[in-house]
Amino acid sequence: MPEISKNPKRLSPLENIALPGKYGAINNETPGVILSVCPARSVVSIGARKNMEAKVSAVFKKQYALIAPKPGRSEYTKNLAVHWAGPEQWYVITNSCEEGTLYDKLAKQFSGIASIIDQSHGRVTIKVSGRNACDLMAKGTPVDLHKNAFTKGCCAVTEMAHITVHLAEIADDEFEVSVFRGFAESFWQWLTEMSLEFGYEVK
Amino acid sequence: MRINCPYCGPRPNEEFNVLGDATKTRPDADKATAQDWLDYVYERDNPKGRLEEYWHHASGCRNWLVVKRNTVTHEVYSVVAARDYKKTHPEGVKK
Repeated sequence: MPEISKNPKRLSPLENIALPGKYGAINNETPGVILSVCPARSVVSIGARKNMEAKVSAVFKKQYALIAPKPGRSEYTKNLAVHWAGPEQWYVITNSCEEGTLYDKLAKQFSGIASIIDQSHGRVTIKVSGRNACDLMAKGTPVDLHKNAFTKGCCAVTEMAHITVHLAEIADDEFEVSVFRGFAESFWQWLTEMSLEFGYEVK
Repeated sequence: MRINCPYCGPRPNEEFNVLGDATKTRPDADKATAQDWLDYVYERDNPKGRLEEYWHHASGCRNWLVVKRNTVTHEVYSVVAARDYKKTHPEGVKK
């Protein structure tokens, strides 16, 4: 029998692909785009059961002092990000707890009124920042990313390079794009190719 | 063609999958034959002109929509979430 570690290290599918360095048209300037793969985090999806939306909202308010994000919106607390992910569906994301802890907590809090699914291993999130971050994202999605239409606190489920992505603007000109794990490498290839003209740094 | 998703806003048709004619009504589960199910699930005409269709926002909110559109001009007249459509049209989508 092979030895099985009790605490396996989570490996990103971009582990040996997203290599730190500067690439593309940098020309002594600072890179236009900065890409970094977010470290392994907890991602849990919440889907309200039929006619339970009000109860789910009440739990969000009571437990986390936030309103359940409306379509295309995100809410943030000190440790959590909550993104809209579809009608009566949300992603809850945190970096600040042990694997599985967030799921256990939410499953208890939303018991009977929502379906809770741990997606931590299923999604890969890439942070995109820099002065050309918005230009880069606009190459992929038909969503209007102009400052008047899409700002900090906005999010969208959309498509980039034929891959379904969840896009959130977490700060001014700073985006998080999350894709299914199996698409991460293909998406990375597209993302880096599209970044060449701006010059990009992988951190 | 752009479809104004009630949840996500206007999106191009690449983000959607089309099922076609939404005027078919679900057969009675107790009486339907295999042929009735085949007809309901798979058989869709592709008429010219105005049509009510089911579209699925696959690369977005993953909701089914009822889209009234023109198959010749690609003009979209209205878009409603299928579940909301059912509330106002309990009898289903009528021709």
